[in-house]
Amino acid sequence: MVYSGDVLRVFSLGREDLIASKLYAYCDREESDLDDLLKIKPTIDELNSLYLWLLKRDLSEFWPMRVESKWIILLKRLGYEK
Amino acid sequence: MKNRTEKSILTIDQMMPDLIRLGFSLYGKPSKHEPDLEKTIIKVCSFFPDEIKIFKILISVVLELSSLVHVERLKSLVEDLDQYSDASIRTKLGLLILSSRLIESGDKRYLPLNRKIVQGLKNHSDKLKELLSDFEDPYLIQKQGLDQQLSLFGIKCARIEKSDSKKHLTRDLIVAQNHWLRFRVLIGSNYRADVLYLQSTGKYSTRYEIWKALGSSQETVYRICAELGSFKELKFTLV
Repeated sequence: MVYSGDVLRVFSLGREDLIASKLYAYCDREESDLDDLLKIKPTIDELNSLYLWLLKRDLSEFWPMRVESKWIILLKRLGYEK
Repeated sequence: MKNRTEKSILTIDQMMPDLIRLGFSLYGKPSKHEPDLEKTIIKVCSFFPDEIKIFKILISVVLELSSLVHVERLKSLVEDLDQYSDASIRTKLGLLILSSRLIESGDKRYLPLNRKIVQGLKNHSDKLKELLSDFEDPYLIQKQGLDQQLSLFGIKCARIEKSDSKKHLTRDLIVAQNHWLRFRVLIGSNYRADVLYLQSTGKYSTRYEIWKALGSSQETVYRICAELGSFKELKFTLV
């Protein structure tokens, strides 16, 4: 929450929300979301805490395979996996 | 005699002001000079598939402008591209996808261009497959559908669709900030409108300069310049 008054409360996305939304977009489409994720520089713990959440984002039978392949690329680009 | 298309040495970042002027909703300021729509289309396609986000906005903008694209000139500029360079193959692939979406929307003027590109890419299936590898994903194919035209090249990849219309201005707003397009609204998307627009800018004093700027058939441009020469009293006020 960034503001709380008598009649108005304002919430904003936190770091975890931003990483989560970018992770989903990165796996869901072919756009420039990887560059955004590299700029955010999520830690390996931040990423791991979102993995199961990410796997539940789509019911397609191809989704887990898609997440796995994109996940490997992301970890390599962030230097977490050789 | 054909005019050679100038080699693209621009980066996508350098193109941003022109794209913004043509209605793309991107961060930055619009260019002060009038962008050349057909050359901009070709340049954006030359970055395919690396700049996929911009490419999708391009599809949407061209669908929005529709009849204001001078397709004959676009085809003429494509004919000047070389056969084998990486940028040329990327450009043709981008134009193939763009023209497919336009034909599907009902604009049959793109059929000759589309056929020409299919012909030109016939021997480049391996390169196309390499460029489209990110789209050969079963999840994307299931979600976006299979691109039927690319399957002619033996490539099974997901359709690349236009971006959301909120990513660009409406046709009326784009036309309002581009005099060249306003000439096309009045006269039609043809060389006559293009020659008249270039003459109206006062930057081109000879028919040779106009021909070089348009990068099209010299004969056509010279003939139109000669015909328009009889109307020298015609003056344009750009407001």
